[in-house]
Amino acid sequence: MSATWRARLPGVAVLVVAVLLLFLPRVADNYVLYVMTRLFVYVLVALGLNLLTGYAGQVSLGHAAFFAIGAYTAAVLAERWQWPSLLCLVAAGVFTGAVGYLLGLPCLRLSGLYLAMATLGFTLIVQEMLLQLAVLTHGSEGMKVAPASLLGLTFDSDTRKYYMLFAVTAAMLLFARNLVGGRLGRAFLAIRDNERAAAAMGVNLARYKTIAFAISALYTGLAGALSAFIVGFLDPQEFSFFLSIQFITIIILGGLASLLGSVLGACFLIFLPELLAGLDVWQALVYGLIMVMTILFMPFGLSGALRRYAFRWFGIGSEPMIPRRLGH
Amino acid sequence: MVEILTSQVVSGLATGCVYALIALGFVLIFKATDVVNFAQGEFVMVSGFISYTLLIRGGLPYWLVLVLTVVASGFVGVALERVVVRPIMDAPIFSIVIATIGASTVLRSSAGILYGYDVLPLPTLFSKDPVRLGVLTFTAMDAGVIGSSLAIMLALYLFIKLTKTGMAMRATAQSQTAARLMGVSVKRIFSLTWAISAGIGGVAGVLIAPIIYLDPNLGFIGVKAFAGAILGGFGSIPGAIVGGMLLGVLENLSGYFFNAGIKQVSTYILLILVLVIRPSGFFGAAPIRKV
Amino acid sequence: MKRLLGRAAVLSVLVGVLLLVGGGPGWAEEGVTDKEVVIGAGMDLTGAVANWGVNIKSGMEAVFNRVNEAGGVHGRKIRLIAYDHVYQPPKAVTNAKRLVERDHIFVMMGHLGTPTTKAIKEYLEERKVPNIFPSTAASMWVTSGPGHIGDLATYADQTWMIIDYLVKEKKIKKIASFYQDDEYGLDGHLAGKARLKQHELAYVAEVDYKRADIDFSSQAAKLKESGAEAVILQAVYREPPRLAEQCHAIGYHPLFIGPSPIVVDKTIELGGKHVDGMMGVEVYPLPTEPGAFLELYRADMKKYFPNLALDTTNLYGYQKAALFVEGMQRAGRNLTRESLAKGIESIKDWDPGWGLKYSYGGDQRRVMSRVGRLVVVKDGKWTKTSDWVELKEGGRK
Repeated sequence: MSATWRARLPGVAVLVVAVLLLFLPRVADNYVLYVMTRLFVYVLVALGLNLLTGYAGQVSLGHAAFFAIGAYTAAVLAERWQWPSLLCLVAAGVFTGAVGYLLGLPCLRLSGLYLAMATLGFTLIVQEMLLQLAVLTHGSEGMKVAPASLLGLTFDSDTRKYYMLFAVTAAMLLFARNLVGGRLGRAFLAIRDNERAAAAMGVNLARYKTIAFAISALYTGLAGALSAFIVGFLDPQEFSFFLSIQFITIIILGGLASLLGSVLGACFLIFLPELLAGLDVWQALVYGLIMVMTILFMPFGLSGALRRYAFRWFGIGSEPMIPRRLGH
Repeated sequence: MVEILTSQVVSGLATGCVYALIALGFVLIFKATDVVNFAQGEFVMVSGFISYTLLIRGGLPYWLVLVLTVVASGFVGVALERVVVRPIMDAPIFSIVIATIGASTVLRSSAGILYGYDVLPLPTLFSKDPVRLGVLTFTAMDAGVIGSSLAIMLALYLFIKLTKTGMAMRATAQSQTAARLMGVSVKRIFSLTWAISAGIGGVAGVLIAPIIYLDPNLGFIGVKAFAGAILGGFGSIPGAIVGGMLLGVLENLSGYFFNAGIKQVSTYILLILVLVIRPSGFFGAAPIRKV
Repeated sequence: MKRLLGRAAVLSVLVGVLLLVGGGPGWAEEGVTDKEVVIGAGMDLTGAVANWGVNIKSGMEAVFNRVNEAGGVHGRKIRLIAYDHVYQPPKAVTNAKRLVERDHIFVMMGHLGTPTTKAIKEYLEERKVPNIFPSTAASMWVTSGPGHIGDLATYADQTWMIIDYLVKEKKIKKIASFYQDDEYGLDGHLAGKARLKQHELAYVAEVDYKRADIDFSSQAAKLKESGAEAVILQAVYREPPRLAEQCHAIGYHPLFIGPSPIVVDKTIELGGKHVDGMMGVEVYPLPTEPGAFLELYRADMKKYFPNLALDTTNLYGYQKAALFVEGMQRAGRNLTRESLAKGIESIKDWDPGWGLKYSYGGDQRRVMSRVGRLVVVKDGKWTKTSDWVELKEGGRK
């Protein structure tokens, strides 16, 4: 393969995938579209979490809470104050981002395990608050959410929901790409690799860490809001510690500090259970085994492995950098 | 009502002791290998099922079952370490953590397939009848749990402080390189640490399964123990123990004064406060940040 | 070797995507063919109420297996597809979509769990898939219109019966409520509150717990302090034994009584002597009683699920399925969702062979049976302690 081809291939691949996705509703049934829509939601979450944990190196077990905040904000605004859906989405994202920023402040001094626990505590507190604020959230009874609508068009069919999410995810993906390629991305990586060195180089730790939290929360909150409109029902029990663990699993299996990794990880988490759905009781076992095998053979995640093979077999891209040990 | 309060505290201490044992398991592995073992709770669950099989289906006497269970749990721990952790020892920590998460899923679903997801009662050596001692009301079970836990912790403490192997473990925890230079087989120490950790989890399982009934989802108790460990200071053994006990008592008291929801969350509010004010927990030493 | 496995993992993800894209465009099929009827169920097979889920599914399958072996209903065999939602609403939603869009089910039958069924309610209504005899006795299924129909007396009905019994027969005025903090527990809890108000009383303590909680010492303390003589348990099978144990540990011995979900052998197995004297409401006979229908039940269970113990849980699934089959019979060979609905609604005073009769309760109250009776744990078994009573309609207001 010539050099230009190799350089262009990733871009072409993305374009091909995008076109395929665009035409998917023509050939696939509603259920497939629903699964893909859920995939997009998880891709958004993974992008957000990866920005914070993968790029900026701040472990977070709190993303189930951000997801919940985004979902309920949009739902409550729509139900109580009849805000138009678009506004609900934007408000959900912004509000969650603000909460993320505020959470980032006390977390500045924490790292590794302690940060993980603090964010875990955040998840549990938010989950409890969802129940206590039953006046707004309907508490343990659960809350119904009507489908989103924009300018008279209601996104109630699976096809429409699919396109809505496809559009938002694509946009946010591009935005994330710009982010990590630019100044912010470099600052995050510097912080992740060595805080003190970064500070010595003039990176304002406090500022960038809190920004990382804010953007990360914004992505996840937006994903939550969209999910609310897609699924149509919210139950506080969903937004648990285990959901946070699932999110972390996505980005680690997919690949930390990698946009491709965020996508692949989400694919793993959404598609694998679908493939195993018929297995009944064996489903969890096979799933666990596959997870263990995947991480044993691809400790840097699916994207790390993909990059490595793309380089070694086809000479595309470059050997992926091995990220340092995170967390402590 | 002083009486009710004290009984709450005592039963809280009992649950807290179990949390402490599990937390101890977490911290041992963490100190030695830097790994957070998410399958720790599953060690507890597995030991519960092993003891159930030996006791109910095998009909063996209780004391024998106890010993066999702890030993078997130790083997499970070593097996996990060899199969899931050692191959990727050099990988980023997160990956190892995910491996343990995957392992916990495998253990849980295996138990489910073998025993079903039904809830099983487990008989216990201690009776659950109330005992009165002045203002204290508690059950023989509570006393038994507290007593056994303290005994195990003491045994462990003595082991680490006084034996040669214990010293090797401490050396490895401080610096793997230095330990190697001194002739310590770091690999064996790792296996041993996991074995002990799983064994302690095994004891916890035998103590708690009769109280809260046995089922494959028992491992989720590990999350609480984890929080307790952090509360007390993850890097320190006494910290983990105190944290676990404190957690148990706090849960009970806040459940009594507030409602079920606050009970769950009070620990985490406390946790966040502690972390913000004193990031290394009550007892932990401030971690030395290597530049 | 590593390379190969790595490649294999990547490939399988890609294959997965392709497989998913497999299906054709969506159809409006009804799940009925010449030879077969496909029905769906969402169950909890590995989660907090797995005991119910596994047993209900087996009970239903026992009936369907027997019917299929005899040639099916009007020549059609019944195929049950059940997915595990682990008692989590989002999974229930995904499974429901899969059942409807992929598997093209005719009806959703015996869907387990109140919050889980609530999560899929609108979806089923929107897609016009009938929700038949869900495995939840919350009152909402009885009053939600033609898309839903329940089989047995609701938690609200049963709690009314409990309260009437406590107040009128036992002359107990200090009653407390111990309830699961979600839609399931609230149904009975709020209904009880309303009924107490009608008796000009109120709960002396309202103590809740979270799904999957395991420690109730603080709840026990609060209950003791309130001085309640009776505690109504809006719980399942794990909580009553533990609560009883912890109450007894602090020297508190109230009368425990609760609706049907606690009337399971598991409760006794877990509680031992602590649940002696615990009372419950049951809305169908015990699996060990005599009668033609129960003989058939015992025979079928032995044949198809010899390793499963006879229990109220699988009997629950069994009777549900038998009722469904009767409805299908009456619908005739021309089987559509409407004809099935008519078939079920035509059931009046139908006794499958155990002395209880099913009758459609009318459009305002879409349920097939309103009877209940009290049982008590005696000598380690649930024993009947009253006759069958037609329950009053319980409500939350």
